[in-house]
Amino acid sequence: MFRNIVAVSNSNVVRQIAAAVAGVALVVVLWSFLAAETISARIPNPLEVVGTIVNNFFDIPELKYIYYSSSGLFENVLYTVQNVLTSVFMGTAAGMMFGIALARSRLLKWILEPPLLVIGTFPVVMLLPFFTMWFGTDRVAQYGLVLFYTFITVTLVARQATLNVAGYFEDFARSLGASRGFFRYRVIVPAVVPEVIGAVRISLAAGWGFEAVAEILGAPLGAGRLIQVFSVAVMTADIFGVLIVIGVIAVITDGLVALAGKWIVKWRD
Amino acid sequence: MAGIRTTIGASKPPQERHWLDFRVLSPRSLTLISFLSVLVIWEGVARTLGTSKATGASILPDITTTLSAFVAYSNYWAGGLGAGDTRMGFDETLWGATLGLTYNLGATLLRLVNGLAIGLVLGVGIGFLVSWSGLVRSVLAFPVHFLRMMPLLALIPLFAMWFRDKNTGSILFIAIAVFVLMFAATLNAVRNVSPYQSQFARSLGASELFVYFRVVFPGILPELRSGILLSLGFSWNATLASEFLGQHNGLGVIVMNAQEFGRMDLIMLSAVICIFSASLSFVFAGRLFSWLVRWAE
Amino acid sequence: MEGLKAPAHRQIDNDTGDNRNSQTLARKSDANSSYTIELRNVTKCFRMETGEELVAVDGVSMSIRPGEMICVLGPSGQGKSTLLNLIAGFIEPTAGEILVRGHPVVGPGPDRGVVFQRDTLFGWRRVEANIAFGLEARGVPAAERRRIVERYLKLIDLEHFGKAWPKQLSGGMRRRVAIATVFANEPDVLLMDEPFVGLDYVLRAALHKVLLDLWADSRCTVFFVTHDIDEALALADRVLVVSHGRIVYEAPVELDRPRSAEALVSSHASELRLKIMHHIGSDSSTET
Repeated sequence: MFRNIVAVSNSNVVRQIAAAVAGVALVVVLWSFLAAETISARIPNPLEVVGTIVNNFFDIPELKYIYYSSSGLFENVLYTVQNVLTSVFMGTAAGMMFGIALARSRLLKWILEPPLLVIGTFPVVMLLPFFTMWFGTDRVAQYGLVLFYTFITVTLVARQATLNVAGYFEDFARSLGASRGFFRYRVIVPAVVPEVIGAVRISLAAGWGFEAVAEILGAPLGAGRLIQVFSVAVMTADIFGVLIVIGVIAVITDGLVALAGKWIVKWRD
Repeated sequence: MAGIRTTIGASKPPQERHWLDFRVLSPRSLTLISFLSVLVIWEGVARTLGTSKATGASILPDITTTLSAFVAYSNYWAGGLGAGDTRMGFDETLWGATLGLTYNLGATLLRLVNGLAIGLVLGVGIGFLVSWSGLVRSVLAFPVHFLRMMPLLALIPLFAMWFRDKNTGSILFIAIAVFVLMFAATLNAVRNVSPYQSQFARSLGASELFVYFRVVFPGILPELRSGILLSLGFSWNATLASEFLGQHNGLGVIVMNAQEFGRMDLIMLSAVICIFSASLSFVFAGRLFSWLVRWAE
Repeated sequence: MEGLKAPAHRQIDNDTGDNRNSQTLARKSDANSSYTIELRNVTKCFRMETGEELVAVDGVSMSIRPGEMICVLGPSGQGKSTLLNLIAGFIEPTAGEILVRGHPVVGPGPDRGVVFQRDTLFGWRRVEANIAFGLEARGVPAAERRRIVERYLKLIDLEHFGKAWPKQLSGGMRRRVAIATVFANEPDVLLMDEPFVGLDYVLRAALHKVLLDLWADSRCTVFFVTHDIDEALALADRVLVVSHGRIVYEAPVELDRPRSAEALVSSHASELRLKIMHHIGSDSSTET
């Protein structure tokens, strides 16, 4: 059986990796071509961009004259990553509990459901002015958007998943004598978690963007702030560098979450 | 077995119903009551906590204050059609405010719809053409995934830099971001197509080209729903964000301006208007799409 | 793109010494008789993801005469559908030849219509557009299409449902539309892959009637895969049993059409039924 797993994963995974590499190569080639057709300030070429990542890692030479201490890519990206991951984590935890509760408590459902469904369509960036007015450029303001979006997304998904489960299993389980608590933990949570993983991935993907915008509009530190600063100084290659670094981190975290999801599902089964 | 209880549906005998049994009420009235309670909670929080004890500044304006901020929209109307430019000393009027709001909200919506439409058409169109080849699909899968994961919203300053006309820059930005989303969604949808229908079509004499455009394409449309709604959500965020970062007109510009002057009430009103507009746009988009795929089960 | 018109077919000698097939068909027939479907020593292997090889069809040879209705029976997953897919041209044989009207099969085509087990109607097209699909794809002019569609709507008794969406129809009605869609294309061969599975007895009987009516009207050759012995006895001119990728039994069904309920419990039918059941449960090493 183990041999079979290896055989399967070898063929499929190898093919996927080969395709991914080919894809990246294709994009890099196209990119270089485009970059050659125009000046660096518009589209820098790939080598330049990689160069900026390396140069800017610990500090940013060009900016040393403008800012007293300009931390490098590493520190700024770290700030962003910390914010995003923490907010997503908190939003997920809160969202799961709230979503499940919403589906199972008639009172909560009654009051909060219609507004919640409306808020699901709300453009989250609209909260920025509020956070700025309330918290200035405190870190809370940067958490806020991502947390809010994650919370709403996960709540809606957890609620829906719970409703699906409750429909099927609740009467059956209860007629077998299951207590409320038993039902909640052993039946609902395992059914809800896979859906929530999907919601987490969506929230993460959006979260990087929201976090960046929040930082652009006023943060002491962070990838977004770097981008803002680079924009003003027309350092396009450096902007691309930051974007790619965040992109790589985003892809990795997304992959990790997906893997965690598969593992959880396997374990529950 | 003692203690078996079946609780299927709302079939409790009348005397067992709790006084707070909401199943008696219709969904419509429930929604109404729920929104009313939201308003009540808003007013309550605003009155008790809405003013900062330390600075006296308004944290959460109450309902009347928010509504009365409406006239301030006349400050964002450059004059004409019966209302004067407040910068020239004219008063804030209700009519001016109406014009101001309509103009700016309209500008926002125009930007949004343009960017969204371009992105949708190109994303689905090019995505579909490209998906003809399974090889191309698998090669492009990773780069597209990467582009989706990149914080696209952070590109707004870049686009502002690239395009002299900020409006064009903003529309193009939205279009590109939506393009990436829909391109990925289309690739995925084509990959998930079940072969049976195509085989059926081929056995009826359809050429591969006919099958691809007249069978596969309509078949994937229902699956694009979530991508389209995500694109709409993203477009709202992208449009507002680009307005925050610098445009000539738009709801986002108003909000940024209001923030500078500390006008919490105007920000609040704009947020409420934004909530309405956004949810209406989703309802509209949902209905339109449902009509388009009305044949789907 | 009408169906392939093949020259009159010469007799072929199927005595190729492959004695694992217990009975192959039509070894000696008249010279100059033509076969609609011919399989010559066809083998199909699949490579599984685990690396193992699965032999789905193992050296099968058969010949089917024009206008015959053949029912292929057998346990699930033992080659019936693979045979059908090979004839349809959706997959290629690992070895051997498949000829339809004398021409080798190189892919799907309108001369071989297929009705699948699952619903493959085009949901975005109304019923009449579904029936007209093949005609449209092959460039038949609109007036002609309309005429043909109307004719088939009548034949399947759905005259007033032309403008309906497939999703508005019941399962049985959809099956009728699917069958009409294929017949409207006037294929030489009709391949049916367990098309009536999961439908109740009454509905199935009604659909049998629709099929037989349309078949009598067009006299195409039918290759009908099923696991239901009663269905095979009700429909077939000849019955084939496929087990472990080989034909293990073959017999004509000598009952007059239309087949009444009495005919289906006659001694001939019961005998056939017993023999078939025996072979479905057997492997190739025990022969009658």
